[in-house]
Amino acid sequence: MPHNLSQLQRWLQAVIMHPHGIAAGIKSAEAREEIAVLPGDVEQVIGRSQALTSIERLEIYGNAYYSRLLECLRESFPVLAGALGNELFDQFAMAYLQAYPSTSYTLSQLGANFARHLEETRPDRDELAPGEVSWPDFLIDVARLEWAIGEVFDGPGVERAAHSDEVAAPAVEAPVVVRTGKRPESAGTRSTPNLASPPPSQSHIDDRKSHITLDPATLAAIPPEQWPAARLVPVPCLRLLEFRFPVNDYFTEHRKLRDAADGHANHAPAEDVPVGDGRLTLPEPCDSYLALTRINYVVRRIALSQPQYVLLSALVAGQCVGEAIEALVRTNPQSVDTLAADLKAWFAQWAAAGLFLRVELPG
Amino acid sequence: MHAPRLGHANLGLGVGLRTVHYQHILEHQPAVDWFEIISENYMDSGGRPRYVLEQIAERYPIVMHGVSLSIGSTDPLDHDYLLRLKKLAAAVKARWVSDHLCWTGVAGRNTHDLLPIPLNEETLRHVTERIRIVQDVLQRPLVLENPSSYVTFAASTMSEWEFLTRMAEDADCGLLLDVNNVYVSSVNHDFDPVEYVQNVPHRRVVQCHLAGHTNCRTHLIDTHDGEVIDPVWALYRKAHELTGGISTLLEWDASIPPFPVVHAEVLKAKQHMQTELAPPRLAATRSGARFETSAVPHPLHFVAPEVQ
Repeated sequence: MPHNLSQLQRWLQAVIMHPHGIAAGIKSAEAREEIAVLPGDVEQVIGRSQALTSIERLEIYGNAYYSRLLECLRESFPVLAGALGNELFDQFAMAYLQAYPSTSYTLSQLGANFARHLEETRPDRDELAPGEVSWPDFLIDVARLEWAIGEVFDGPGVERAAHSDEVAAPAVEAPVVVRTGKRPESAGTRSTPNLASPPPSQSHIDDRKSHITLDPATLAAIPPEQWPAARLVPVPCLRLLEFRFPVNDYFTEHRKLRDAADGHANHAPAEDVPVGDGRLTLPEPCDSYLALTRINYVVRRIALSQPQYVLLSALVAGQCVGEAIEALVRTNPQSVDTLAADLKAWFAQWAAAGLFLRVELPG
Repeated sequence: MHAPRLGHANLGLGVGLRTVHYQHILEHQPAVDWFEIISENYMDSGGRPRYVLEQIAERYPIVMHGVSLSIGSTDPLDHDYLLRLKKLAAAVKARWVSDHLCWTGVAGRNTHDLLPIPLNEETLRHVTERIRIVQDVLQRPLVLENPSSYVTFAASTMSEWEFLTRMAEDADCGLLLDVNNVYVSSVNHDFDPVEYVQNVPHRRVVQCHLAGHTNCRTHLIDTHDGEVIDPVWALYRKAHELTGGISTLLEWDASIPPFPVVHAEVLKAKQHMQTELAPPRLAATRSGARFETSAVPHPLHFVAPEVQ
């Protein structure tokens, strides 16, 4: 009896996605539920060519499925892949692809659950005391950092508004799909990106940023009595992250090694290059905090202290400055002595880094 | 009788837009006739890819080429995806929107591969109906590409060119004739690529794809990682003659060389438009061809983030 389209598709998908190869896939319950054929009889479903058997032809798809997606995950998590080495990384990634097969139309979402998967499958999951940190936390932290960097890179930002004469904060905060569908009709105006111009220099970038993000001078001019009730609206690309390992430093170190390897590769054989061989050593556990933002389409990393993280988190959560400071003092009572001086410097630093869109004052 | 190319302009010789070439294109404004984008890389982007695309779209005609429509799947069509596709098409003033005659997954999964369909009456009805729905949503004719493939189904009852012909007529859609895919599949499935190119409905062919592939001795893999080989150019000459000229695009997706090299490769098409027709050679090799066994078809279209 001929098999219908749905049966054929479900069967073929089960066969080529099986982690142990085509023959195992054909014999799997998932495949046999659709088409109960044995590997030796698969020509009843898939024809052979003059050069290849049906099984060999199916293997092209089976090999491609994992090769393609493993490559994508390596590109999504290059530092983690470098820390583990490709072979070990691929073992984690293979398990991940089976636990979380892609359900999205875009490969950019393939690694969305990787950190969660590492947490769910950590070998010491049932043995850890509350608050205890061990090496799986390092892998999870690196995965979280790399995924967040990817999200900030291609998520909503402030550049479009900065490039437009018609700056409007709500347009910046709107979901990207809406904004991109309503591109300002600015073609031909001086603010329209022009192919004739080279990519903006850093100074040019900062000039543009100042048009849309909160200016440090504006912040400094807020009357002291209005500060407690002021609300700072973060840029849509701001992400705050808390880690159990110093993964931002580790990331920086990896980048240095990679850059050195790139230079090294230009002059000598690459076999001595440590990046990608899993030779980077595990750092000591140490709580660390990081802000990610994006300026001129490049992701920027800003290391934070724990008090800075607490304060910024409260502000991002929508608390006014007074409430956020109270939250900070509650969790860090020792910070009271230096807080006044610190706050002034912090807010100036964050405004200069373009972390806020605007300040909303009472009344 | 339809106008040639379903009424679309012949855009000339274009190149597939890839992230490694962004900087070169923005700085040098190369004299490329048009660019084709991978739709999924831009439809949700709020970052640099979308920004660069919009700059390029100011200067060059843009055609959208998708990899996730999954027109042949028995899963329901993804209307959210279609609406995003439509929005992007409007934003970049896409000349047309294309995808592949394939399915990418079923039961809610996406294999991110372009999987083949059994070529029979049931599939034809299924695909035709879905093309009509997609065209209603997009409010424009869909253009579908013949995929390269590595298996055939015992359930198939017709040739791929026959399927494409009936599908295009029944659904009133356009075709993207990838002559490299025709060649790759002809070697893999032991059919005559010239007969294929001769028999597709030429007035419905809106666009042509060129690409390199990898010879694995027993079969060919569509790797988009090298120059176009002579037998594929011969098929291109045939397609050019039969269609009267169509928008032509080179895909280069792995081991991507500098932009001028990619551009120069598609410009070779000019010579073939003026060359006396010579019968394509059916041999799968060319002088100096590489033989590999671990090639992966349909390379990734993944955008790596930039971070400091």
